[in-house]
Amino acid sequence: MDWILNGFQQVFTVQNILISLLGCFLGNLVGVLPGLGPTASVSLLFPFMLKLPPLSILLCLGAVYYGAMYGGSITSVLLNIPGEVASVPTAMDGYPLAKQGRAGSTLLICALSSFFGCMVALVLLAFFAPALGRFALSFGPFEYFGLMFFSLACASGLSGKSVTKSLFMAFFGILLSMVGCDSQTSAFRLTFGSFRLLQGFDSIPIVVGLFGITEVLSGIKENVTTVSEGESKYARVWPTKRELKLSAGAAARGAAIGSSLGILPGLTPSSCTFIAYSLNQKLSVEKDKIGHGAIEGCACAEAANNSAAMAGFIPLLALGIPTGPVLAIVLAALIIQGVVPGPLMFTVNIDLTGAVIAGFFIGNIIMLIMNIPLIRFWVKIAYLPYKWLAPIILFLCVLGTLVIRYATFDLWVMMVFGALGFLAKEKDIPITPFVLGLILGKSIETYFRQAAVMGFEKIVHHPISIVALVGGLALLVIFQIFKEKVHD
Amino acid sequence: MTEKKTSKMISIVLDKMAFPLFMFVTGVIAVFESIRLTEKYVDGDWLSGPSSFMMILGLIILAICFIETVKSVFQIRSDLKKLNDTVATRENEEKSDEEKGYIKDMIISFAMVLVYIFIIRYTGFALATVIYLAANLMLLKNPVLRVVLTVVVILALLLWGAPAMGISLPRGFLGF
Repeated sequence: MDWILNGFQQVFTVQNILISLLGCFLGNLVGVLPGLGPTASVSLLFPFMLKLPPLSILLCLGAVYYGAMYGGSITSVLLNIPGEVASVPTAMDGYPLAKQGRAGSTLLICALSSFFGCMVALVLLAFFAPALGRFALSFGPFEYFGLMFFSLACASGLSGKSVTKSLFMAFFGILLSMVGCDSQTSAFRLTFGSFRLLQGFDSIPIVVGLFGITEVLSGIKENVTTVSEGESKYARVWPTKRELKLSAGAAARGAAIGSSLGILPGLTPSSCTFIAYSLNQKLSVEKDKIGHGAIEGCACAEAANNSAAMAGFIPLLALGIPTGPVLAIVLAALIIQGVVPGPLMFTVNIDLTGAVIAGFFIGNIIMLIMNIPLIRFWVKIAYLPYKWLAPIILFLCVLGTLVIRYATFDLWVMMVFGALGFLAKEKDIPITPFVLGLILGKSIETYFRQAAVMGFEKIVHHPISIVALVGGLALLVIFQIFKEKVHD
Repeated sequence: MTEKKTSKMISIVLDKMAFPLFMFVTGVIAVFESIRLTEKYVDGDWLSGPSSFMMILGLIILAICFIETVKSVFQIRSDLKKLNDTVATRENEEKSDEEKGYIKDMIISFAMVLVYIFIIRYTGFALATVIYLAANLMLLKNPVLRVVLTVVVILALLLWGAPAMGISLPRGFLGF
């Protein structure tokens, strides 16, 4: 555990603590704004962080991520506006509680449950990820190809209403990652004679377009409006003993389910939250109240949401495989900085990994301390009119994309993908598999070609690869059948 | 009435077939590009070359496209059947009129960003931002005072804040 202690020593600098504080603040700020969830928050803010060193990027992105998640729960409880899907259960129970004058204690329980969920996942990250990383040292191209296929299959199976459409989006993402000069043979692929396409597509303009531009366009189209001052009352902030007792059990269940499911690729925090929430409904003391104002519901949902978000860092750091779009963005940011997540994070880059885990721990404490006195301020922010915010967010998208490499071409790419993302959203076509395909595309092709050089017949000596490939295919078939039945 | 029905039928067909068509185009591009790459760059082992993975993806995409096309044809048939039974209500029409206003705002906002990006190279980033923000905030019916304050604050941040943070932004004919 020396590496974790070293991590704490590294993180305890004024710069790193300020970065965590800034990340939490910005994440919360964007998270409470109407129509923007954690993915949009991270994609909007991360172009501005690319000049920072890798540790600072990870600390800041992590803080923005969990800050935005908590921001969503504030608006859910006080205004009945879930900033993202994962906050819907919190709104279902939190808003009725706020109307009863228990907003203060509900928000405190939400903050404590989020903190508890993050801590459980961080402990798992500290103990489980190194073991997984050491195990992954023996992995070769076959294993990585199998695991990446499994990850894409999970994401495709779980996203959207149609598995075939999701799978196409994943493959479309891989195809786009191939555009440009092939690093092994110098062949120009899918460039169509265009000089600008020789370098390939930068992932940042695409991500900003898909999440930033798309969200704003949807917001304008759906006429997202902030509600007038509601009847939410703060009255008592400290919860009663009974509330604490009920919440502790629910938060423990939420954290256990969230952190164990959050490791799996494709299971986003939203899915984990709904699974945990419905399981908690069966196990809770006040079953009848769940969905109508039960503190247990809020505690479970918040703990599951945050533990799943944090648990996603385990496969990201140990294997280099992101489980959702936010972690795909984190992976892209690290690759740009020359840090390739994978088993080497626990050998060569062990100092960085220790510092990141310590930084997340400190960041969560900062967020807990910062949020309690700032709740009233976040509510004021949530009342800002969307018709004022939308042009400013669009301006930030343009500025963020421009400052990466000062190329107007990137801005056009951002706009094209903003329009495509909007159309995909309108037609219920999932974007998550596309982003995973885009980010993992180069690696998955490299491993495929390395496996081809070694000879595909040798796959019989790689049982993990066989299990992952067969498991991925089986999942796709199962999800297809399941979704068709649900549709019928 | 018949014209309206025909246009609805066309929109149903276009709506259902657009995505399979996009899949088909993507798949065909991948397959043809893979063939071109094979002819130009591959001498020895095809599987470890630059075109094999693309060919596999292209073929899978075409297979998915076939499945989606079949599904879409069935959906079109059922939707067309439903269309014969459906009678559009006045309420629905009014609601869609209201929505049309927001869609118009959205399209104009998108077009404004396109113009914004286009004029950056001529006017410089700061001036283009001022023009864009003022126009889009006005379009979305913000009060004039709010528009002016927003533009002034953001212009100040761009002119003095960005250089202080080491961010250099494109300059235009006015020198900023």
